[in-house]
Amino acid sequence: MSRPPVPLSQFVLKIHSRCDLACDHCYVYESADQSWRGRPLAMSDAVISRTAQRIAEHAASHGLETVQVVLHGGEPLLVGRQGLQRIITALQSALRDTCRLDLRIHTNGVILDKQLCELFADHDVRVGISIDGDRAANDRHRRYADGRSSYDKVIRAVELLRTDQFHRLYAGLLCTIDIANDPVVVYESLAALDPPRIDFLLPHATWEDPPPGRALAADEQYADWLIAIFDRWLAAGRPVEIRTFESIISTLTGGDSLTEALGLDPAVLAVVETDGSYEQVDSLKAAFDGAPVTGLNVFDHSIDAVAQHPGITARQQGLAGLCQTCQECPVVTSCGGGLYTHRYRASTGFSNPSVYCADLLKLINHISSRLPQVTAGGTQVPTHVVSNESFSALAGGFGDAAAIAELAGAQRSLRRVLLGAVYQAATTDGFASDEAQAALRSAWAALTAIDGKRPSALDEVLAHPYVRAWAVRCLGQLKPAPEGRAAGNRTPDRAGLLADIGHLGAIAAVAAIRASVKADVMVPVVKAGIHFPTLGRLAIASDGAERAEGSEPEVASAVVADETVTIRVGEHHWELAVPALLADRAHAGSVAAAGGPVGWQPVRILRAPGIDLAVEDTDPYRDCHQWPAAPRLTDAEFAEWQWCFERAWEELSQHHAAYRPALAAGLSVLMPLQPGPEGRDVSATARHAFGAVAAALPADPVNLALLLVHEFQHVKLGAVLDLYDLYDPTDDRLFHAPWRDDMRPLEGLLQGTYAHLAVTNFWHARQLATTGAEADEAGERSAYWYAHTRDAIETLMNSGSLTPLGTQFVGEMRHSLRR
Amino acid sequence: MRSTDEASGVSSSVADVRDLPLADILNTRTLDQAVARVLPDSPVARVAVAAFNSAI
Repeated sequence: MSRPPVPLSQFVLKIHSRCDLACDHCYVYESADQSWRGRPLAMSDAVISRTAQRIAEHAASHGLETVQVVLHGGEPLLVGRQGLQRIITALQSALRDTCRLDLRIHTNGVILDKQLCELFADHDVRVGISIDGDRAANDRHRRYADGRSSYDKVIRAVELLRTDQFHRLYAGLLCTIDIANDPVVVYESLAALDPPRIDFLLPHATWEDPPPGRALAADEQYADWLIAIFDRWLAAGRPVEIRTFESIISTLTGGDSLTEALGLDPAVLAVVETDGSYEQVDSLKAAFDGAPVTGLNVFDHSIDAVAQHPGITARQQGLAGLCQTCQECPVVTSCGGGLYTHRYRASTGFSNPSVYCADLLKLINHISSRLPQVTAGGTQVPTHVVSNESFSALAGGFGDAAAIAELAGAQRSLRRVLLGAVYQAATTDGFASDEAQAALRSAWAALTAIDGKRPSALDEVLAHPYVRAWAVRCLGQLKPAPEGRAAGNRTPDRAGLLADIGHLGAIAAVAAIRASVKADVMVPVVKAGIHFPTLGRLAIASDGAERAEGSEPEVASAVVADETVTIRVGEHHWELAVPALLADRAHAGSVAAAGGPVGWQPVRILRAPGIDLAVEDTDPYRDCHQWPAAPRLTDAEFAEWQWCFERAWEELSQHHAAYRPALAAGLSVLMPLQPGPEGRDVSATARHAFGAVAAALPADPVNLALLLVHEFQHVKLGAVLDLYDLYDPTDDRLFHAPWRDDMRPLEGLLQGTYAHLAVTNFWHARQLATTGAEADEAGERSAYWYAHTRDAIETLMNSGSLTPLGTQFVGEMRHSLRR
Repeated sequence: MRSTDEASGVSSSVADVRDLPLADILNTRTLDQAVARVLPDSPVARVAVAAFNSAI
């Protein structure tokens, strides 16, 4: 099953087909493909105009926010200043009302001058320069046809880009690797030119035309060359972005690939030649004569047609598009099979590992082994590891208290990081007023102080499932520095965002309460109440009901001192006794009100032997599940929950003991949902709320036991997916899930299958525990879910998109089901 | 949870910052990478860069 075509968003325009240098390693002129000989010298105005229209049409029809256009050649500056002006204007005019244009030019730099830089500055065109290192390295290949050096002219161009006037145009340096050069000298000489980025490019090669200097296919000289630079670069504190290294680091840590040469991200690039022909990526020129050809052109064909070309879609298949060797490789998510061109072999086409396979494997493993130093910016920080026993048990659908503790430990790390990310983004976003920023700084100062004195107190707050849900909500609305809010075009609800980021103060207040330390922070008033995560809500309206907030968020001061929390809103103030709050005995009567009516709504606890489960029905960030949150429970409703939960826990303890330890260790919050449509039982989990299960009260305690088991499977698997790549995240195909009418994405199918593995076991256990018609019905349900789960496991195993670890995980699921 | 210096486990790329002071988490690559890990589509985590990088 192939994935549908992905819209194209990057376009390389070959605006001039000749070059003023005669580099002997150039893939355009020295490779198998010689199509340049029959091309027009330069792109005509007609081709430019039509190309710009095609890109605009494509961007509009697919709703693209940004397209990137790279002016390329040959040597694009040979078009001349006026020609460049026309090209840039045509592109900007066509795209002005459609999307943002990220315009770049890649040049050898030898004729770049101040006038051209002024033109690029006027139109925000960023400039990349090709240079292979120091003078000796550069002149090994990058010479004029008569043998003269290009080095001094290239350096002059780089110096121009380093001036204050043009520095913002300086996109970076591109260096083609020659292993005859000293890697450290090459790196140091390029870094000395102060580029924002360096690209080290493997020379184009295939299995038919091996890399220069390659004596044996398994040699790793290119890895050794890059590793020498990596180690130097890392030891220096990563002073410049090196795209190959950053891409590997990004993919090793769950991020995107940053280059077409690595990773599983789909190819979204097309080339337009000087005659208007669409081509695939032009490095294919190194494979065989005519390799990049599509047979399509800007006059007769849309870019949608290009996106559907088999040569393009072949590079959009992610893991499933790779050969078997690559699919089974442990570093495939970082490598992605390497550059498509480098996989070519005459007998098998592109269904091979890269001719640089051994180099890429060694380099990625080397960077992976240095990841702790990398992630800490040079400081040794360990990474989370799940024991083999726990991983195997979790993969089989189970996991004991120790396994849950390992997952919870990683969640603790992630929540600390997300807390910092919210603070950092909120204080650099440019959105918050000076007053709001001062409040954030006070809250952060309190948090860091408590973290130093009583870290366990902070952990108790951060362990609350909806703290991460809150952080995710904030980060979804904030922009990073240095771009800032002013440059953004999103217009979120300002009052809502300010109230959201102000919740940092509420977290700090609760940490201070739990740590018994002094704090003075600002907390938001949301819907006539002030929420203290893990403790409860102070309703400051006369009836305790929620009210819609105004256009500006109201804030309160919260002072924690001498075992009392004093809250002030305008002229009103209230006091809460810390011992009462922490002892779960606080109620309206224990709160001394001075200045207005008040109602303290504490978090209540469902209790059963071996478990205390907080009922979260006040947290403003709890409503992040598939079904809507119920309002605060009445005392009678809470009593119904307690009755049902006690019996559900008894059912779990008696008949489903394999699931009980994990639930006791990891299930911390029950969030009541509104009743489902037509009386259906509804329940849900949220990916960003580890430890919480949401449900409407079912009529039958057995059903509550079942939904707790079912939903906690999602909790466990979500935490596993936070740690590991089990599947190719770029695979956007939909798959048949036997228990649903609609098709599901791969993660959805994996989640459903993992949950139903437990459901199958649940009904099997019920079959053994009951008799008569009840046992028969349980047996039928067990058989039904067994068949569906078995089929879904096979769909996952045959998807071609599981990583090696994912294959191991689903293999354990299969083994567990058969048991 | 154990750390990478102990054997017989499945290593992840998520940095263990439980004992790293909260103040030291800011402005580190650890922060950027963890956000990218759990929120790959977040504007905070997004890196704008052209994938194409052939030299001429």
